[in-house]
This record gives sequence, structure tokens and C-alpha cells, in this order.
Amino acid sequence: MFVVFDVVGMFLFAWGISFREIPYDDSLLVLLFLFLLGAPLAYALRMALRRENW
Amino acid sequence: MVNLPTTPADVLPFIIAVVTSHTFITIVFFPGFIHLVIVVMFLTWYERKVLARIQLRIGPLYAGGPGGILQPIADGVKLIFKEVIVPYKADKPLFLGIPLALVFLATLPFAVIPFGQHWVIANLDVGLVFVFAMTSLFPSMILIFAWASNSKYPFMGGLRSLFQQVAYEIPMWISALSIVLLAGSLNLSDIVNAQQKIWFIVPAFLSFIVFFIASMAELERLPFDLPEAEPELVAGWYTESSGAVYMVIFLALYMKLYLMSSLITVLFLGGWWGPAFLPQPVWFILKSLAVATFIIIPRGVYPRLRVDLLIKIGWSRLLIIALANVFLTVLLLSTGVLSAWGL
Amino acid sequence: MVDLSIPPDLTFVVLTTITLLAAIMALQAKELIYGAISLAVSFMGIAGFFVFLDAPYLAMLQIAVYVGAVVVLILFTIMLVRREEAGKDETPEGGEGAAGLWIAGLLAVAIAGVAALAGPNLPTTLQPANLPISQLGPVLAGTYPVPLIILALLLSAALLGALVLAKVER
Repeated sequence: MFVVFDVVGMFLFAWGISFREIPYDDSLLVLLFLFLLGAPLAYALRMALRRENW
Repeated sequence: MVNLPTTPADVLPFIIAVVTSHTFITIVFFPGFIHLVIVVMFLTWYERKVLARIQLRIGPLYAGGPGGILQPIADGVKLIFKEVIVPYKADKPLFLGIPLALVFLATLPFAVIPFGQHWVIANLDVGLVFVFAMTSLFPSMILIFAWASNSKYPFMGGLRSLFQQVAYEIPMWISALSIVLLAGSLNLSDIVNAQQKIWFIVPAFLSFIVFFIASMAELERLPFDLPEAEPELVAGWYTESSGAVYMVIFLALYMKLYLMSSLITVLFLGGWWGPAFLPQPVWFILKSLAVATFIIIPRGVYPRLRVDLLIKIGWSRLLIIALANVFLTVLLLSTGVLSAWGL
Repeated sequence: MVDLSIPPDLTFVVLTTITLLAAIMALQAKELIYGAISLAVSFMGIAGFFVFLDAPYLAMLQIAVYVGAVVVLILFTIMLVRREEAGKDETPEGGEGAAGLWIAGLLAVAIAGVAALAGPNLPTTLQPANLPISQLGPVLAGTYPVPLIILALLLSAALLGALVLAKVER
């Protein structure tokens, strides 16, 4: 999980720089990207909560 | 531009030109080596004093000067003269080499941290990710070192340390992402410059909290002390280090503490901006020391976190809060709320 | 300021030597841990190449992801699997050297063939890619939105797969 978020983090940094210079609509895609990644994260957290054991 | 000396008469002007050049001064004196060494030594004394006051005692008192301020020098001398014990069947080159590499790795990111408007060693355009890339190398080196000690306690400590540092790097990065969104650059000088009107701690307060807690975890300080765990694992991944090896590791750890404090100051507390009656670097150092104080204080106050709680907090709570702050920042920026402060 | 610029050719040669040597050592090292460390060094060499090609952001990404995470995973595996001994490799049979030379020769012939076919269109000097970091983001989100979403789906699939695997094991 760490590796995936490592790569994700790097991509997000690239986005972060350009955020203020591009029209705001373009950033919606990146937010979609984040949501798509959030789904497995939420799934993992729910599983962890259920088992009470990480 | 001075050319390389071609005749013997050229050598002295050449040396003078090099020594007085801005690059040389920043690398060696400030904010370079000499400054770092002095600050790190000061930090060791400072920590012991702060912890002592919290625990209702006085701390180092006798080692010369007022309040035992020469204590770090005494410590250093003592550690140099102690015997360096390399464990049986331990990997000698790794065991002796990695601590040096750790110090090198902890010192290197200082090259991009701005201490003042002109006090940067290397103004990299990718400064922030440079620092993060360097800090991400720590866990692997600690693991190798723990393995190289060839005994149970350091190895388990090394594994735990790796887990912990790795888990808390991601929230750190995401919370730094909020800062990058606000500043629009990875260049640390630019980030400081953008805080001229308002320190980023105000719009990115959640990120500040996350980053602060995550750096405490990265530095392995209480309440994230599990890799050290004095009653359990003796001293964690550096159990087998003695004498000069321990001193080098000690140096690396406190260098990292100063690094994180400076980073927090640059990212959240406005770097070197401050009223003009003090020179800029002084403001920077004062702020960094204040941050370091708040990192040190919990060590004397909070109990240690259990390992499963530790990982849970990192991945679920901190990461979510950091992500929430990113969304919040996006919202704030796009609705133009922060334009009053030039953001 | 003193003019101390290092000629780019020297940098290239030094980088190449370090990277290749480290890669070779990574494969040949008798102790697995040394192999992993050499692998890390070769990754750093690649990052150095990225810097050399005017892509510092990619270099940092490389260091953070590869040396930071991938090497950690490899070390993990080595240490948890071979905990008892120092993990010495057995000496392989002698055919490997010849096989290596054959493959290297074939690769050289292939590259030379491609270069000859491309003819005069090959760039002879190093042209820095003009993509400053501030434009990387818009390029990602603006010009290539579809790959970005596919990437997100891919990463999500990898995450889910890992989670499912972990669940099955229990």
C-alpha cells in the first residue's frame, strides 16, 4: 500500500504546482483520480475496523 | 569570474575568492556545517534541560559554563573514547559505514532549506520533493543497519522502525501537498516568499497538525517510541552501537530533528519572515527551535503508543485528515477566499 | 565566482560506470543484502541520469519510489525469508558468462541496426527536454486525462488485489 501511495503522492505534487495556473475545471479530473483511489482505501479501512486488527 | 590559478602568484587571490564567495560561506559556515554542528550539539543539551524541567529536576549542570552548556562536548569526548564493540558475526563494513551514511543523509537536505532571503545553499526548483526523497531513504538504511547487527533486539527494533516511518511518510506528503497547493511551487524559497502576508499554518491548520504528528513519528520520538522501547528492546535498532558508532547515530538523529523543525518552519510558520528588528536568519532559527521544543516536550509527558494503534492512527486518521485538508484547500483556493492575502 | 563546471561527458561516463557496476554487483553479489544495496545504488545512478537529462523532478520521484519503497520491499523479503544465515548464494555453473556475452552482442547489433536505419535523423547532441516542472501538471491533467484515469484504476486494482490476497491468507 505504501508503494502505491508513494507513486500517487508524487503525481499529486506535480498537480499541486500547476493547480493555480490552470483553469479550475481541469483539476476536477485529478480529484476524480483521488476518489478512485479512495475507494480501496475505504474498503481497507472498513475491513480493518471489522477485524480490529491491522 | 576568477579563473583557476595557472601561476603560483595566482594561488592566494584564488583562495581568497573561493573563501569569500557566497557559496563557500553558506556551505561551511551558515547555514552549513559549522552552524549545523553547533545547533545539533545545542539541541542535545536543550532536550535534556527541557525534559528535566518537565520532570521537576534540573538536568545537566556541571559540565562547565552556565547551566552545563558544555555537556554535549563532554558527551562527545566520552563516546569517542569508548570501545567500539562490533557484534559477533555482524557485518562490519555495513555496521560501521551506515551510521556515517545516515549522518550524510540527514545533513544533505539542509542544502535546500532557506534560512533567509539569500541564505540558501542550493535553490532547487524541486526542493520540497528533494527533502522528501532523502527522508524516504532513512527507513531502508535503518533496516539494513538493524540487520547488520546480527542480533534479535536491533532487528526487531529495525522492523518496527521501518513500519512506523513508512506508514507516516504518506500523511506527511499529503499534508505537504496542501502547502504546495497554496504556494504553487516546490521551491522552498518560493514557499517562504508566498507566506509574506499570512503564515500557511492558518489556512492549512489541519495539515500542520498532521505534519507535526507525522514528523514526531518519523523521528521516533515519544509517543512514537516503540522502535526504541526502553523496557522491551533495550534501545531498538541501535542497541548494538557503542562508542563512536553511537555518537554518529545520535548526531544523525538530532540532525533529523533539526531538519524536521526547519521544514515545519519553512512550510507552515513563514520561514524567515518577521519584524525587521532581528535579522532574518535569527527569526528562522528561533522559530525552528520553538518547533523543536514542542517536539521534545511530549517525550516527557505522554506514554508510548501501542503498535497497532500506531499504525491505525497513521493510515486511517492522519491520512484522512490530510486528504480532507487537501480538499479544503482546493475549495478555499477555487472560491477565492484567500485572495486577500495574495494567495 | 570560480568557474568549476564539469564537462558533461565526464559526468556521463562516471554515471554510466557507477550504474552498470552497481547493477552487475547486484546480480553477482554473494550475500543478498549486498546485492540489494547495489541495486539501490544503481537506482540512484538512474536518478542521476534523470538529473543529467534535465528532469530533476523525475529523479526525485525515482529516488523516493524506487530506492525508498521498492528496495525496502526487497530487503523485507530477503530478511524475512533468509533469517538464519547471512544468505549466501551458491556458485552457479560456468555457462553464465558466455550467455551474458551473447545477449550483450545481440543487443549491440540490434541497436546499431536501428541507428543505421534511422540514418541522418538521429540527434547527435543532447537536447534538453523543455518541460519545466510547472508545466508537468497541466500536461498530465489536460493533455492526457484518459491515461490518468486508467492509471488510477490500475492502482486501485493493485490495492484491491493486495487487500484481497491478505484477506484470503487469514
